[in-house]
Order: sequence, then C-alpha cells, then structure tokens
Amino acid sequence: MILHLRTDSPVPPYEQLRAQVATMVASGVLAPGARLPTIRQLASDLGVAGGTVSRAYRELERDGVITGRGRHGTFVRERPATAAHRPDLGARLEEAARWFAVQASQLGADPSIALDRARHALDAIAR
Amino acid sequence: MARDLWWAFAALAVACLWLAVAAVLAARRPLEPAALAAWASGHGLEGVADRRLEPAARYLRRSRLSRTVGGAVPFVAGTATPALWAATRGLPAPWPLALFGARSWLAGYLAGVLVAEYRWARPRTGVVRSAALVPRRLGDYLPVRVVAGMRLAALATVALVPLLAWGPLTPAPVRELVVGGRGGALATAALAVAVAAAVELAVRRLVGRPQPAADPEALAVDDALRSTSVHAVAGAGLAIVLLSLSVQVGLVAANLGGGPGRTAVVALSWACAAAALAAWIRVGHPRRWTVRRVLARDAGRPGRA
Repeated sequence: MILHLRTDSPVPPYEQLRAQVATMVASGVLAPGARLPTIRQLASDLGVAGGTVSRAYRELERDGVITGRGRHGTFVRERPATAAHRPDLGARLEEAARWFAVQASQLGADPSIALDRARHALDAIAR
Repeated sequence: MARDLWWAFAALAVACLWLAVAAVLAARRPLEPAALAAWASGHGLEGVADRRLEPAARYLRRSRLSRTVGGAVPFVAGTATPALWAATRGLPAPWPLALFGARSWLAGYLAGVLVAEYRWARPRTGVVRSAALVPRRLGDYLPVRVVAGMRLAALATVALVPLLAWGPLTPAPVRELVVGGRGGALATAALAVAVAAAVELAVRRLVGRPQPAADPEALAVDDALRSTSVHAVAGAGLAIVLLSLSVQVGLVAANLGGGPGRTAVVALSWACAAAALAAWIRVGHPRRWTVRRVLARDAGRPGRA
C-alpha cells in the first residue's frame, strides 16, 4: 500500500503514480470502494506539486479505475470500466508499451527477457 | 504586612524555582527503556525493531523537555516572580504577572509540544520518495469527541456572557466590572474560543504534515509519534477551555445571592476545573491509542463516503 516515486526516472511522476495505483486496483490490493488520500496529502507526502497527483487521479478517473465524489473524496470504483467502455484503450496501451520499452532499454535488458517479465506480471495480476 | 512576611514570600519563590528547575532537569534525562517499551506497546508497536524506536525515543525526550520548559516558564513567571516581588518590594505584584495563571502554564506546555513537533524534520531525501496510499483523518489520531467537547465547552463559555453581562443575575456595578474588567466574562469567552479554534487548527495541521513512508514499520512509528503530539496538544487545549469555563461558571456563582443554587453552581465550577485536570492527564497522555489507519488493518478497505 506504499507508493514509490523515483525522481531520476524518465517516466513522468504522474505516470508513475497512475501506473502504481492502477496495478494496486487491478491486483486487488486496493479494494473497490477504498478511499484514496486527498491530492494535497499525497503531494505533500511525496514532495511533488499538487498538479502531479491531480493529473494522475484525472487519468485514473478517465480510465474508470477511480471515481471522485466531490468533497467526500476519491474512491476506487466499485466496477472498473471494461474495455468496451474505453474507446481509447488502444492508444493507452500503446503509450504504456512505449514507457515499458524505454525503461527496459535503459536497463539494458534483452527484449525477449523484458517481454517475458511483462507476461509474468500480467499473469500475476490476472491471478 | 507583606514586608513582615518577606521570608515566607522568599521561601515560596525559592520553592517554585526549585520545582521548575527540578522538573526541567528530570525532563532532560534520556527516556527510560521501560517508558519507551510502554509507549510502544500502548501505540500498537509491539514487535517493531529497536532501531526503528531509537529516533522515536529521541523525539519523545525532546518533546518532553520542550513541554516542560514551556510550562515551567509561565509557572515561574506566575508564582516565583510575584512572590519574589512581594518579598522585596511588597504587594501587590505588577499587573502583567497576574496573567500568568494556570491557563498560561498549559499554554506554555502546548507551545512546547508544537515547537518539538515542528522541529522534528521528516526529510524527503533521496531519489526514491514514498507515501502511503491511505487517507489521514483527524479521527484516526484523536477521538472525535475530544474536538466536539472542546467546541462545546467554548460555546458554553460564550453562552454565559449575556447572562453575566446583561442578565438579571448581575447587579449594575458588578456588570460593568465583569464586562469591562480584564479578567471579565468577555475576555474569558474570547480566550476560550480562540484557544479552541487554534488548537483544532493545530491538530489538523499536525495530521496533515508530510509523512514520507519508507515501509509499513516506519509508517506505524511515525503515526504513533504524530498521535502522541496530537493528543498532547488537544489535551492541553481542552484543559485551557475547561478552565475558562470553570472561571465563567465561578463568575456566575459569585453573582448569585446564596442558597442551594449557588452551592450547585460553585460545585459545577469545581467540576469544570477537575475535568480540565482530567483532560490534560487522560487526553494529553493516553496509555493506549493505536492509530486506526495502521496499514495491516485498514489499507484498501472500503472508505466512508
């Protein structure tokens, strides 16, 4: 339940946050209906600008992972949006794949090993 | 007469000074391992590694010293200094010293907690930054009834102002004295409201301070320290507001003619003072309080809307 942010990563901070929260929801670590910290709290704890967290939350909301309930806060959606409800799924996947490729390339990983690890990670979430 | 009793005043001054110095010296000592273990156990930190508790011990000692110095300064100013003045120059002591009553000791104590808390840096260094994905709410660190009680006591202090200033209880000369006097009903009510508002703001700020979280253990220790500070501030604040209410009720009693009604109001005034002492001890220094957002239990559970 702890988020990590690498300040030296080529991945933008908002994307790091978005990806981690999305993974936690997909893997069930964050249960449907769980309340998320306020933008101010998370930004203050991580030492980043409020806009960074705000953008991550916005993207997650757009993806149907979380939902904002005004002054009551931000919550994990009870029913995550399915692929059918996401017309931009292809573009989002392409963007995620590009980041993954950049990371793997920077680490000097063999493409086949990197793909193998990605498949393992997807299998782990699916389980 | 005061000059005849100079030795008694001098003895009182020395006793007060000695008490204050002894308290500060005792607070400077390192935290006893048993006291640290009791604190850790009371805050749900059983099994946490000793190296995690070492910084907590430093913070607890620093906070204790800061609180004690904060309380000792107005204590000396309010007791030893007037006694010394009376012994050397006679009564009465100059007016500003009259401000250093019991409420000022608590205010100094409260300021000490805040100084210790704000001097405790929670660094966000390194290339990897971490944070818990769990909301921090005041109710997790402090019983909500404490804040509600503080608001209620402040409101009660305000509610008594019309009764004292313009009500049928007070004869006209006394009314003027109460409204216009420095220690009067209006000033007491204003103090209670200001303290209640400032303390609520302070505890909310304490809960909202940045909390870098390397791992769940570090997070639990930080939560326990935060909760200790929040309780100390809230306990001292509630005590000041209840003492103000006690003074206000005492003013009502002073303006009643006599009989069982007056006795009941006097008893109520004393009950408020006793409640203030209880609040300082029980709310400010809880033996057991585990922050409810501790990860293992609350993380990822559906939240309240």
